[in-house]
Amino acid sequence: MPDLDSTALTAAHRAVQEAAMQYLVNPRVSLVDFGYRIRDQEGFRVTEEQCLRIHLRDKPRGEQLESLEAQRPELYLREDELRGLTARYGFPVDLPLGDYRLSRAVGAYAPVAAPPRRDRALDPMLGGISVGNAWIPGAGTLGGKVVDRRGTPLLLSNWHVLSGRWWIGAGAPVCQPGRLDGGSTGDVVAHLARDAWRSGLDAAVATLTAGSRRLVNDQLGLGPVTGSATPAPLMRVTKSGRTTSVTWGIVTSILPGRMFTYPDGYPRAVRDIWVIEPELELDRVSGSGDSGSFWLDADSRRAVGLHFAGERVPSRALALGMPAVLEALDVQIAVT
Amino acid sequence: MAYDDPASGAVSERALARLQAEFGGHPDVSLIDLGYQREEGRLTRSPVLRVHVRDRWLAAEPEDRIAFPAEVEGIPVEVTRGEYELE
Repeated sequence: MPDLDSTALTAAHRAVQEAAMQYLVNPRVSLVDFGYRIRDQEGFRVTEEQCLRIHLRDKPRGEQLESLEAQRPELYLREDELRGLTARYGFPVDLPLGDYRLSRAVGAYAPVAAPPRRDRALDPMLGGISVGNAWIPGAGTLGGKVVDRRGTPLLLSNWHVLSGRWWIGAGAPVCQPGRLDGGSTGDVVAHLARDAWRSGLDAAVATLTAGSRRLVNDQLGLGPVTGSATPAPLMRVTKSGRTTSVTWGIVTSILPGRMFTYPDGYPRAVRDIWVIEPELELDRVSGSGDSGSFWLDADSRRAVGLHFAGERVPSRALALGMPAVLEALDVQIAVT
Repeated sequence: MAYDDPASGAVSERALARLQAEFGGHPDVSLIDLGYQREEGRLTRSPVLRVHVRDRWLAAEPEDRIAFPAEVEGIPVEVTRGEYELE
């Protein structure tokens, strides 16, 4: 491969990083890399053209492709997005056919217990797993367990995870997992109680359904939350989320507020936003579906933020200050 | 210049306010904040004013882009991608 100068190499690296974050969640995509264009319809002939390559497990054509676009748009690689990658980084995009599998292991290995799936129904429920409104397609993260003044346990996440539409108010069903992960009205575990929009915060709590599954103070892969604290610049933090699992970051700045457009089409002003980014630039802190995760102080395991938004490349997370969230909802972290 | 807390410091706060007042309302700008510089990809303790821009700024021809100052009150200004979305 001809040498790339350092600028082109950096651009190639960023292009791969962005495409990986954007497309590896798509089950049709098996690999993202940078290399020569592969003509898979010409006996997988390799050309000399350097491309950003998004390898696909299948390549439907004609009516099959049209059917995929119409019926499973989330699996369809949109041309305008691919053109955007080319425009941003200056490399063409290739979509070669490739379904890669692990090589068969040689020898015997002791079986290792698989961790619980975040996108499956779990009992007991804990922070870091899929949750959503049972009426709306989608999924976010169950942040964790909180209690009100009477000691009643509630489930805390973002408003846009548990509702997201102005017409979906108190009493709306919440399912675990969220509908994007196969949840349905048969998986209803809670009902929306109240939100924190009066305080400009994208947060809400839901009351657990009597006789349904239990909710415990635990974060999948991290352990229990020990309380709450105010975030601070340079604080090292960690979260457990539905999409990117356990990640680590550093609080780098606070923003007074910003407008976001919500799924119901209405812009809303959000305040008390903290920026979290990875210590190493190419690491990832969050992804779509992580909304609602608790950001914990990595040392004390106290909850300092409620994740709600982010940027993929470079990876940055936006979280609401947890003390403000708890005060607005009149709840506290359930530490028992 | 190095400091431990980007949210403190009169100079940095004043510089941030100036940058926000001048560019905060521009449609190509999604955020302006005060963060930390990176060296070889790793976060340092040196402050930097960051203008987070939308993809259309990055995709525009250089001559069509709004220009930002290289520094404000001695604090460097960095332009970074910032298409923030609900997750």
